[in-house]
Amino acid sequence: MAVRKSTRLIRAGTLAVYFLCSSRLLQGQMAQPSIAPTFALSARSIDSNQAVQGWALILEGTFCHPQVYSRSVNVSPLLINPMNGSWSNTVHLVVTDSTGATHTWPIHLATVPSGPIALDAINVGRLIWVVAPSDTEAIAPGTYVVQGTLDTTASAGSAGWSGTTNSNIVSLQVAPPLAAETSDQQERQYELLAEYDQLVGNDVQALNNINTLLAQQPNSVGGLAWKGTVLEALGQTADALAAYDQAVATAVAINPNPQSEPLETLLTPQGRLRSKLLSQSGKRGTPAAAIQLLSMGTQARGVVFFDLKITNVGNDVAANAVIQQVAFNTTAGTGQVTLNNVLTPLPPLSVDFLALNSSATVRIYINVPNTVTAYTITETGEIADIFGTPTPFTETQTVTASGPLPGDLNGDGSVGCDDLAIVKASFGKKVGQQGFDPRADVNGDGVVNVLDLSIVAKELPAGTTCH
Amino acid sequence: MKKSIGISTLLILAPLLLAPVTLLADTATLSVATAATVPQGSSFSVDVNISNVSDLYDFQFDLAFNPAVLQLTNIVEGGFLLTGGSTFSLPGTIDNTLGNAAANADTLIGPIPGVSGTGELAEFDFTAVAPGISSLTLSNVILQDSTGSLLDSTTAVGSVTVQGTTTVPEPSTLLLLGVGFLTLAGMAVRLNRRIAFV
Repeated sequence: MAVRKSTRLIRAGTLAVYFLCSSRLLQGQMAQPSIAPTFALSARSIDSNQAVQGWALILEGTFCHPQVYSRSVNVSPLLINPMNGSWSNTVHLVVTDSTGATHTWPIHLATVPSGPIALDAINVGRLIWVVAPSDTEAIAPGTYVVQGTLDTTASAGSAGWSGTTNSNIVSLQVAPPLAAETSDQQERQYELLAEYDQLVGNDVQALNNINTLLAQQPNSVGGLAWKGTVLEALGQTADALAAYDQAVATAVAINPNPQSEPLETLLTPQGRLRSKLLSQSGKRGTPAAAIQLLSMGTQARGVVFFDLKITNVGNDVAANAVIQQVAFNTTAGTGQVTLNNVLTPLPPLSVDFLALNSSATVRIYINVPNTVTAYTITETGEIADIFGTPTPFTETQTVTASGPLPGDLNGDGSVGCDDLAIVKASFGKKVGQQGFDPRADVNGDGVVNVLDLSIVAKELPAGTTCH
Repeated sequence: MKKSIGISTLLILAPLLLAPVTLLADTATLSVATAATVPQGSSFSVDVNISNVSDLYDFQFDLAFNPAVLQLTNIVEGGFLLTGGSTFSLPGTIDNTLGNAAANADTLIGPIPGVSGTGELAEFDFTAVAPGISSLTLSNVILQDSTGSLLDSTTAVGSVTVQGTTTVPEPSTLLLLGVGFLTLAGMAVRLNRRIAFV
């Protein structure tokens, strides 16, 4: 039973919206000289490209300003301004089959927004359409194409954006009812059904469907997580938290070493809910930060980078965590390690909301002289709860400067003739000259010569023949 | 008292006296070996040799020549380093306008000791294009031992003289020339006689 990424959590995330909008920009909106909204369309059934008769079908459109989340420019809002009613009236979906014939599907907007919408660097629009399970039964099996259009040419008025923009094309293969469902397919069907029920405002029915699933699959992580969502929507906060707790425990029991992302989709609502409960009860916990070195790499000669993983190990969610200072202390060797302020923004380095046991990562670049063999990194900062109350932290990690493999100029993890070839290609060149490859200047003296060549050659196995 | 001063003086001077000997013992010499003279239009080789070297792991040098007299056509790795193991050789960049072969380099491969003694580092193939003298100068010499330490070195300048072509008359030509001279002499005698009778 796989711990599947919960789509409802992902689609609610800012990052996901940014991705959708960015991906639509890459798909062609940037080619347009005038600024137009982007319209990203996606489908959810058994997956994003396959629907099943008798299953719910959900379509989601995301509308963004092309400079959404831009912090460096002054973004002029795009006003989607219908003459009257909802801005969603400017959007319509068209379904065609493989012959190009248009089909009319019983697609309904789950929620109709009111009035116009202004798309800017922060605000995005979202529309969700649903096709009821009973309606998908009437759709003939086959391959269909769904595309949306945002058309304000007849409704923009004098203040609104006037134009037309098309969504990406969603290809859907509609299949007849599955003869025999796997447990994963069954889980997916009920999750989809619960989401459909919630979208049409029937949380009780959603809970019934999830309970039906859990009766057959008690260890369904997705089912338990959905139960938490539905119970939370029904106001049963304690039960919802218990469901989330059970989902996390089950996920960890199934896979003790899960990849971070799927588990975090569970931990985030769990932590948010726990915080809500604590707040409701008048009890306030305290977030606490623990920092570990997640990974390390070499950016350039003498410049390495670390991903600092900041984890909230307290008993309350954190509104943010801020590293105010990063200090270094050489413990072996000589020389001083320093923060590379060219590649690393000057502190403070901050991360936003951290649920319980959830993490965020910041990358720092540091200058490490080759005479330093071991050093410590100490981060000093504060982690604040949702009320803004800060809790200071000081975390220290020890690093042994083993550095990259000597002579491995191309970074492939081994020293070979390819590395000698890098020196050969720049041989005799000085820094600033055309053809000078900094990787070839192994000793960093600004010129590629036999001193660099021999450093690499010594790392090769004796008897190696290179040309 | 005098005796003690004398001993002290000797003790002080001893390192100075020994120093040149020590330096000479540790200093490798790069030299150029070629024929002293070569005829114009011929191809010949110049060997760059090293002597008195210890633990040589890698080297690099430039070789300058007179491009009006010589043109460099090819550079071949010498056999000295190859006695220590496999090598990676980079022939220098040939510039027949400026008269230079820059950054001729060679290194052993692997964590192995260097080579010691005397031998050929590289061979340079030239064509003698015009009469004249070309010096052969080594510069920018880098020698390293197997620990990565630089080795001291001196260089010896070489030179080669390109001789111009001189045309040697063939026997038949000499014969014709002699006949010609005799004919001219005879005509001169007859002309003198006619003038005398007038």
